[in-house]
Amino acid sequence: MKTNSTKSLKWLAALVIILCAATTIHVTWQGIGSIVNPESFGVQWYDDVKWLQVAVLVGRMLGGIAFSILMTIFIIKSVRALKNGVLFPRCNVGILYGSAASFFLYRFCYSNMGIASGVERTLLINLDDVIVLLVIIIFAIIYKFAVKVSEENSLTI
Amino acid sequence: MPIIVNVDVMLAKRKMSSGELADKIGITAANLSILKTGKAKAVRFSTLSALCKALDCQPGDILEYQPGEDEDDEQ
Repeated sequence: MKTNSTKSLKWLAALVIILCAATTIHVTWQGIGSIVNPESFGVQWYDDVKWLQVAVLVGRMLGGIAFSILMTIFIIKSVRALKNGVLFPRCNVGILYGSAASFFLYRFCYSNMGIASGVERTLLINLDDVIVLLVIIIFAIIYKFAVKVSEENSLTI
Repeated sequence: MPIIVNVDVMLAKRKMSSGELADKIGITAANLSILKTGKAKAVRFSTLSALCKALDCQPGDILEYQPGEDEDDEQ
C-alpha cells in the first residue's frame, strides 16, 4: 500500500468515525428526547397508533446507533487489516450484512416519521430504501467473494 | 490438494536448511512452511523457478501429482 493512499485512508477513516460518533449522539438524543419530552420534538401521541409511534421512534434510534457502530467497527477493522497486509478481512462480511439491516431499519423508520408527528397513520415503504438495502447486500456478497479470493491469494507462494 | 510439494527431499539431498532456502528464493520462512505442508493454494512460476535454481533440480523433482486426494476442494 502506497504511503499517500494509506494517509488518505487514515484521514477518511478518522472522519467516518467522527461522523458516526456524532450521528450516534444525535440519534440517541432525538430518540430518547422524543419519548421523554415529545412536545419539544414535534411528536404528538395518538392512543390508537401510539405503539406504532413508539416503534418508529425507537426503531429509528436503534437502527441509527447500530449502523453507526457497525460502520465504525468496519472502518477500524479494515484499516488494522491493511496494516497487516490483509485487503479484505473476513470479519467484515457479517458487519456489512448487519449494516444493511440496520441502515434499512433506520431509513424505514425515518421515512415514517410522519406517524410520530401524527400526520400519517399507516406505515409506508420507500422504494429508495429498499434499493439501497439490496445494493448494500449485493456489495456484501461481492465483498465475500473478494475475501475468498484474497485468502487464496495469500496462500499463493 | 492433489499436488504435493516435495521440498524436504531436495533439502536433504542438497544438505540445506529451510531458512537458507527461504533466504535464497526470497520468501519468508512462514511461506516456505506453507509450501512444504501442502497448505499453499498456488505457486507462482517465479517462485518455482527460484526453487529449482536454489535446489539445482527440475520442477518434476519437487512437484508430485497424487490423484484422489481432496479433489472436492478444487470445486
